[in-house]
Amino acid sequence: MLRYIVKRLINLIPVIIIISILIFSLSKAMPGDPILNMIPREGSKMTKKQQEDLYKSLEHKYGYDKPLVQQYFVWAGRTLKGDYGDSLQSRGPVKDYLREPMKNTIYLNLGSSLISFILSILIGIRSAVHQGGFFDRFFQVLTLLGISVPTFFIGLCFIFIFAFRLGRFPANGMPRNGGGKERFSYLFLPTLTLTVGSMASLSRYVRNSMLDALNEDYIRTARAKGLKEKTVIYSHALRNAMIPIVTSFTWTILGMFSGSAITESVFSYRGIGNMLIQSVLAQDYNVVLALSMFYALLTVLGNLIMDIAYALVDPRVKLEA
Amino acid sequence: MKTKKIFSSVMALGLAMTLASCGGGDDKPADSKSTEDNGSAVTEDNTSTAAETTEGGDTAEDFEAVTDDNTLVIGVDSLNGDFIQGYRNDAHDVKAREFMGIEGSLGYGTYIRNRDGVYIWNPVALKEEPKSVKNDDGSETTTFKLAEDLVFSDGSKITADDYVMGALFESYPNYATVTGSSNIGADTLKGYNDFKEGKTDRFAGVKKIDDYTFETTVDKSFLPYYDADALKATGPLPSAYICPNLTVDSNDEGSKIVVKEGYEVTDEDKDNYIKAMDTQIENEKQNIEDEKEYAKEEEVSVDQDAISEYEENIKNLEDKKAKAESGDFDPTQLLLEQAWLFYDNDYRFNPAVTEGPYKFVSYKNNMAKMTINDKYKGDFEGKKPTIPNVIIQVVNPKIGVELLSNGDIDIWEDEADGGRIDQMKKAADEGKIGGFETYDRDGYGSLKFICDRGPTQYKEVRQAIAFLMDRNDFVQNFAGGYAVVTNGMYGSSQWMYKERGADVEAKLTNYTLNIDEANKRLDASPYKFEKDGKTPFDPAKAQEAYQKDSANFDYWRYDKDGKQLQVNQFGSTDSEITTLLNNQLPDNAKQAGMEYNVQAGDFGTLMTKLKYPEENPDYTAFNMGLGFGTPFDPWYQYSSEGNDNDSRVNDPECDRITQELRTTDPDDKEGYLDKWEEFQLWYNDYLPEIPLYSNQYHSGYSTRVEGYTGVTPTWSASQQIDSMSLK
Repeated sequence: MLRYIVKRLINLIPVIIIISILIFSLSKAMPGDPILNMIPREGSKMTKKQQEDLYKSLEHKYGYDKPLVQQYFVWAGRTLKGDYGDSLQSRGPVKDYLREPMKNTIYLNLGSSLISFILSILIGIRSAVHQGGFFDRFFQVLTLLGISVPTFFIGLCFIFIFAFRLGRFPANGMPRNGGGKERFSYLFLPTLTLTVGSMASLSRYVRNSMLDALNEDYIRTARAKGLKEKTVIYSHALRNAMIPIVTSFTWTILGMFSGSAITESVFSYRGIGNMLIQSVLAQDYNVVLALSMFYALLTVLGNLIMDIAYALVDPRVKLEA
Repeated sequence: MKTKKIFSSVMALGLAMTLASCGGGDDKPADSKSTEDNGSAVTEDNTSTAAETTEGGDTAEDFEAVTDDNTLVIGVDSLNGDFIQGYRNDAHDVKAREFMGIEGSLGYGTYIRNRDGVYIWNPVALKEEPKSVKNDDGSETTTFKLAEDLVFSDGSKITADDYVMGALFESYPNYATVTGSSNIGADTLKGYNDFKEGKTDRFAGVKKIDDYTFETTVDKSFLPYYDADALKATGPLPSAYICPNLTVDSNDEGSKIVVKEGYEVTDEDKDNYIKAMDTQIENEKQNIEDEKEYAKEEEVSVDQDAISEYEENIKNLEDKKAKAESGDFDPTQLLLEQAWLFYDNDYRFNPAVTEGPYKFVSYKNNMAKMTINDKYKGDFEGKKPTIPNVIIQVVNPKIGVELLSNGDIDIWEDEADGGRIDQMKKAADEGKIGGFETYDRDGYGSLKFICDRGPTQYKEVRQAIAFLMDRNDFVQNFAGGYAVVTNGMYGSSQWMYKERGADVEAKLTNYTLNIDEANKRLDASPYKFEKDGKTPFDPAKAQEAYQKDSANFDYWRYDKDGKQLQVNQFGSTDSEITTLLNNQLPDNAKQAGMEYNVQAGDFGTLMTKLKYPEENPDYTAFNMGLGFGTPFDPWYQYSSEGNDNDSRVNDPECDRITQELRTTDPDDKEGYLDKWEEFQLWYNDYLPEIPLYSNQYHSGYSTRVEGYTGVTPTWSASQQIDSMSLK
C-alpha cells in the first residue's frame, strides 16, 4: 500500500502544477484592479501625483508590475516555501490573515461532520432494515426537507427557535469571552445547521446502499446459515454498503469547507468560506489563490484518501502500485 | 428509547470533540506586540512600555471577566480592524478609533467638532484658547498651550513633542511609499510641499516652543478658509511608544525628527542602513530600465533628463553607502522608516497606547474589544465614560433589529432598510428595545457620471437621464419610504440646509419622470438626428415605435456624424439600486431615443472603471453612495484641480464657485450661505451626479441603555459614549 500511496503522490505533482496554472490564470482574468482597491476610496486628500506614486509603489511592492509569467513563478516558488504573500486587504501575510478563520472553520466542520456521519449511519441502517416503517417514513420526510430547504433558511429557523423564542443559544457572531461553555453555545446553532444539511443527503445515501446490500444473495445466504440478524446487518451488509458511503462522506467533508460559507454568513461566523467570498469581491488575489489551492489540494488528497478508505472497508479492493 | 440515547450521545460526542479542539482562550493582549520590526534598541524600550501598561490595570485577562452587566455591545455589519487612517476606510473601524480617541471629538485634538459639527478649541487638551496671528506673507500662526496633566492610556505624559511629531510623522517624503498609506500628513501647513518633496529638511509649518507649547502655521494658499479651525486641528502621536528613539528638533526654520540624544548606533542599524541603500539603488536602476522600456514600447526617445536624475541618485546613494560602511551615517531615516513600519504593521492593528475614553484590548474574530481608560481626563463637555467595557461586533445585518430586541446587542446604528425600520419601531412600541433615534444621512445614493468623455460629457444628456427616472420609486422600493429625494449636494442634517434649505429648494429644478422634458434636453444636445445624421429626431416617431414593439425598439438618436446615443452604466451587484435602475431606465430611455444599458459587477471593477476611464470608455455612469465630508468642501470633488474629482468635472464656473465657497471669510456666515446656494444651483444644473435618495437612518438601543440621545450622522454611539450608561 505504501508503494501505491507514494506513486499516487508522485502522480499528483503534474496535476497540482496544472491546477495551479489554471487557478493563477483565472485569478488574473478577474476584472478590476486590486491595487486600486487597496487605496481608500474617499476621504483622501492625495493629489493625482501622490495617488500615482502610491499606486506605483504598491504595484511594485506586491509584484504586480512584473510580467504574468514571472508573477506565476514568483508566486509558485513562494507558495512552495509556505509563503502565500500578503493579503491586499490587511497588507499582512496571508497565513496570518487566514489562520483564525481557518481554525474556526475546522472547529465548525469537525463537529458537524462527525455528528452527521454517525447519525447518518444509524438512521440509514435503521431505515433500511425497517423499510416502510414509521421510523423510515419519518426520516424520509425529514431528510427530504433537509435536502430541499436552503441552508440559510434552516439557519434562520434555528436562530428564530433556539435564540429568539427559547433564548437557549446566542443567535449570531463569535464568542465574546472565549470560555469553553460560551464557545459551545456559539457553535451549537451553526453546527446544527450544517449537520442537518449534510446528514439529510448522507443518511439517504446510507439507506439506499444498505437496501441494495440487503437484497443481495449473500445476505440471503447468511440468513439461511442462521447467522444472527446483527451479524448479517453489521458484518455482511454494512461492510458492503460502505464503499459508496465512504465516497459520499469524503465529498461531504470536502464540500463543507467551501459550502459552509452560507452558514458562516447567516451566523456571522468568521470562517474561510465567508472569507473567500469577501476576498473575491475585494480582488484580494493572494488570499483567493491560497484558498483555491487549498480547496484543490483538499480535493486531490480527498481522492487519494478515498481510495485508501476503499481498501480498508472492502477487502476485495487491492491497491497496487 | 435506545435510539434516543444513541442520538443524544452522538450529538454530545460531536460537540464535545469540537469543543475540545477549540482549546482555551487565546485572546492576544494589547501589549503583546511584536517588536522585531522596530529594531533591537526599540525592543527594550517597548518591553518596558508594555510592562507599564500591564501594571496600569486592565489587560485582556481582566477583560475576559466581561459580563452583560458591564459591557456595551455595538453590532455592526463589517469591521476590518484598521485602527489608524490611511488604509481601508471602514466606517465601523472609525467608530473604534473614536472610542480610543484616535479620531473624533473625545480625544485630545487641538480643535474638535462639537455635536453640531462645528469646530471648537478643545478645553480639555489646551490650557487656554489658542491665539492666532496673521503673518506678513499671508500665512497664519496659531500658538497652542497644552494642559500639563494630559497622559496617554499607558500613563506616559503628553507633551508638545507628541503634537509636533503628529504633524511631522506622515509629512515626511517616502512615508506613503514605505507604508502604502494614503495619508499625506499636515498638507495645510506652511512649507509642506517643499518638505514633502525633500527640498527642505525642516517643516516650516510646525514648531515646538517648550514642553507644553507649540505653534502651527497655516499656509497662505489655504487662507482665508471658512472652516479655518479645521486646518489648525492636530492631535498627539504617542511618540514614546511608536518611535522611542526619535524626538523632534525645532528652530526658527521649523521642525524635523532627529535621533534622541544618547542613542547608540548598533551594528544591526548599520547593516539595515546598508541594506536600505542597496534596495534604493536597485529601485533607481529599475527606474532607468523602466524608462528605457517605456521609450521602446512607445517608440519615443529616452528621457535623458530623467535618466541623469536617476544616475545622480544612484551616485548619491552609493556615496552614502560607502560612508555607512566606514561607520559614518545618520540613522534617523532608518529609525524613522522602522517607526513607520511599526505604525503600519503593528500599531495599525494593535493601538496599545491611545488617549480616548477607551483603550484597546484586542481585535479577534471580527470583534474589537475595548476597556475603559482610567487615565482619561474627560471630554470637552467635562464628561467621562462609565460603562466598563465596549465591544464592537460583526453580526448578520439582516437580523440586526431582532438581535437588538433579543438583547444580544445594545446598539444597532444607521439602519436604512424600510422593513427593518418598521420592525425597529414596532419593537420600540412593544417595549422590546429602549427606543430609537432618527436622522438624515450626510450623503446620498447617486448616479455618478464621467463628465469629460462619452455621451455623458454633455450636460443635456445627464439632465435627460434625470428626467427618465422616477426617484420616488427608489425612496419607496429601496428605502421603504424612509428617505427623501434631493436636488443638490445637501442633506437636512447640515447646518447650511437648516438655514437656507427652503430658499434653495425653491430655486432648483426638481427632476421627475418626464419623457417630453427628456426629449427637449436631448434636442439641445448633439444627439438630435436620426441615423443619417441630418434628419431631425422625432420624439413622436420614437413614441410610436415604442408603443408598437418596445422589445424590438430601433429608433435611436444620433449625432451629426452618425454616432448613436448609447449610455452604459456600471453598478455594483450588491446594490439593490442597480436592479431598480435597470428596471426603469433602459425602458424609459427608449422613448427618448436613448439606448441605456445597465451592467452589474463587483465594486472593485466599478471603481477601476470610474477612476481610470479609457479615452473611449465603455461605461460613463455609475451608481454608488457618496458622503459629504467634514468640513463641507466640494472643491475636492468638483473643482478641476480637486484631488477627489472622479466625475472629471472641468467647468470654470464650478472652479470659481467652489474656490470662493471655501475661501469665504470665517466671520462672513451670510456670504458663505450665499455661495453655498450658488453652488447648489450650479450642481443642480450641471448634474455631475444625480442624487437618487438620501436615507433617514434609524438607530436603535436596547432597554438597558441610557443616554443614547441626540445622535446625528456625525455623532454616533462612539461619540456619545461619555453620556451613556447601562441600567
